[in-house]
Amino acid sequence: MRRVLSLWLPRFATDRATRTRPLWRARPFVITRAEGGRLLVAAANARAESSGMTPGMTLADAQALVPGLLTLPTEPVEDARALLLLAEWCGRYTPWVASDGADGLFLEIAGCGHLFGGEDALARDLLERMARFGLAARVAVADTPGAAWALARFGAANPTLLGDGSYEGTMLAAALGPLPTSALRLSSAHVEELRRLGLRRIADIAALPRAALTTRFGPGVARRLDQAFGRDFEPLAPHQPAAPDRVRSAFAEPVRAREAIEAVLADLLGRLCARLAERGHGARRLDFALYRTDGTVATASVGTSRPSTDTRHLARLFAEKLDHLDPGFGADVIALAAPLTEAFAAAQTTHLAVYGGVSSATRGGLDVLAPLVDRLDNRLGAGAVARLAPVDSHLPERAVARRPPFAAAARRPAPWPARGPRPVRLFDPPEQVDAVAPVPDDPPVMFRWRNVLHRIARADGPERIAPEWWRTPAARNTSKTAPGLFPDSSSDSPDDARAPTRAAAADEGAATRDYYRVEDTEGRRFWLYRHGLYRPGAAPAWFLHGLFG
Amino acid sequence: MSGTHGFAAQPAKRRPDRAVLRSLRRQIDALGGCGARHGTVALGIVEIDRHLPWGGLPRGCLHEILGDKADGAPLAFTAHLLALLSARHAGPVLWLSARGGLYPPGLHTFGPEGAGAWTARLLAVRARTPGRPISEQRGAGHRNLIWALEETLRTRGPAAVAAEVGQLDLVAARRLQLAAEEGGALALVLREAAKDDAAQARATAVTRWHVQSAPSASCAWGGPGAVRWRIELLRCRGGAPRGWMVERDDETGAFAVVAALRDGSRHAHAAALAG
Repeated sequence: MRRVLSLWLPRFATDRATRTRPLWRARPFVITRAEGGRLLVAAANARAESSGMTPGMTLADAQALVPGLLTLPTEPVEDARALLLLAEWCGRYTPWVASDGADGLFLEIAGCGHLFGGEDALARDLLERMARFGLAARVAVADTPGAAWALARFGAANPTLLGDGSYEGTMLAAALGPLPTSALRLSSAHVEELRRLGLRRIADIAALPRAALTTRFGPGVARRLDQAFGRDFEPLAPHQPAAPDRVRSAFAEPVRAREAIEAVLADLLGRLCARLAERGHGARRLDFALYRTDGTVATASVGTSRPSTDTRHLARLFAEKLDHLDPGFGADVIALAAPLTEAFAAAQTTHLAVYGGVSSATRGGLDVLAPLVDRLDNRLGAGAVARLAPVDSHLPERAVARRPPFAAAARRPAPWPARGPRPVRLFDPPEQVDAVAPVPDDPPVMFRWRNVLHRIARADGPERIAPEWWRTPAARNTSKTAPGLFPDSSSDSPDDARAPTRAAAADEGAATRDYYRVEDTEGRRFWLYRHGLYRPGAAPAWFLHGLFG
Repeated sequence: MSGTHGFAAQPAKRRPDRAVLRSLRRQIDALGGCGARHGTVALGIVEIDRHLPWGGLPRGCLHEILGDKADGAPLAFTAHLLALLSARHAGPVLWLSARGGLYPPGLHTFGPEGAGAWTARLLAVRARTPGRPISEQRGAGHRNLIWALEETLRTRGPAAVAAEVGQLDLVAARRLQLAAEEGGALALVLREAAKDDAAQARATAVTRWHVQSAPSASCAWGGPGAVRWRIELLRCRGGAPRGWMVERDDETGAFAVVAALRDGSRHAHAAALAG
């Protein structure tokens, strides 16, 4: 017993385009493709078709019919991908979904109908959801894919349900008979020939002797006829979900010893990396799990900054984590999974160059450090190694951001914007100091920082840095540390007995800062700023933001 | 056996042949494992380069730069060295620290003219125990930093590695020196002056510097003048300790030793000569 649902999306290309451009739905709009130097209409939406466009006419003719026609170039790759996503989505009805050309799907729904309250309800549900997606759809259910295909495209009702799985010949003949011959998925040449012979309907062909059809048209026509009537089985190849990247080993005796676990890890790495390499992918994240005899699981994970299938490098990354992995009374099953993989970029072999010697190091790129960066990241936490990149911001603490070391932008470094003199070390957050300064705008004459008094001999300034008025106060306050310049630092004080007070302004980011570059009597240079403008009666707050060299 | 009595005639003193000395020095370097194998980095300051036995800082060795925590001069001195190095050697530069705070907009002004692009090859490594605040970083964080430094030095690839460590004990210093010899990068370790530095007879760093800021000469409007440092070479393998006062030329970014005049400024001296 077999029940096949055929879903036809007659205007899939235009509907997909108008999903992101809803205003185009009401206007005539065509998809064009280039052929032989001319632009032809590949597909037209409903409005354009009602104005007289047909696929195959030249764009010039179409624009003559409707001036102001909207056009888009054809995107077959995107359409195919969208259809694939739709096929995966149809997994809610049945696991057996096959694609049918560029604008249709076949669903095997034998045994699935009752879950939705009957096949009719299933078909209507599908149509309703397609309408919600904005896709024009036609649905037919029949005993064979051929019959369902024909009824979906040429049947009268939408949805059309035929038969009950018993391949009842007369019912099929009665339903398919009136349909034109093109409903049998024949090539247009065959259809034209049949038409010239006066055979316009399926009923006409079905009445002919098989041998005559075969000799005249070849086996194709007869085969399609047989497939439609159920005499010839037409298989549907469903989409398979991708096999998860997971390998495991089970043991008769629980494995406890460290050397044994290392050996199993090496073996699993070899198997998994071979499987990934076949696809052209490398592992970015690996999870190693020991399933212990007492029912618990011990796991360890490593990540890499670049996709890698180098088992030696990955085993080294795991070496430190294995110390903390407690096998307990032994592991029955040991599994290795790669939850995150990435396709290899073209220039990938450079990460092996680090074992090759000095010659590769002179290349000057950051790629030679990929294994080192992986080891550092895995021990010190993700994001421990970063490239410091400029951010276009007036606020000094936001002018530097930590970026991943191997990002593509590393190859084209941006210059540091030249603003005023900047310190070599920046304190984040700025440290509050007690300063004595003549009012209102003069630099301080002395200040106390970390219990040391500094008398100022020379000063330069002020440099006024205004807050970024275009950012809301909430955004200013929460991200007042540079987005990346150690954003997770818990702002603890340095190892001094009495910590200086934190910068405790109410709305830190909103006040203007006047920066002064000062030099004390011993020659050390500091970058101080006064928080906010001077107000008579209120002692201004001074902060130390950085040290100059 | 009768020996010579008293002061017999001394054999005529011969001046040591410079070429012989140089070749001997090269042989010793090859045995000792620094300088000859990976090249040197000239500091760009003529007097200091002439004083160092290698004509500059040798790569593949550990160099210590001592300074005060509240002073930006050791950091800027390191940046100057890194800029000089990256102009001649390709390869990334890694900077390891526990608490960060490195500010490239200020760092890239140090170094000779046009060498500012070294900050594009800079990788900042935040070496501390993940998940714990800075105040608890004392033991495990320091160990992580030393481990990361050793791993980085051992890798062939970086042109230079700079690290800000708090204290460095003898065993760790020895391991880092061996790792630096293996990797071939210029290893600069910034730390604070410890109490037992002078007493350490067997120090392992090839050179040990102490850099601190010195009062600059005022410029016309009373602001801070050109950057001025007191650089002391505390310890040098094969050389003598010495100190210099250097001043930075704001236009070219090069450093020069200032004459020890009353106010220490060569500009004032030149001005006095002129007018």
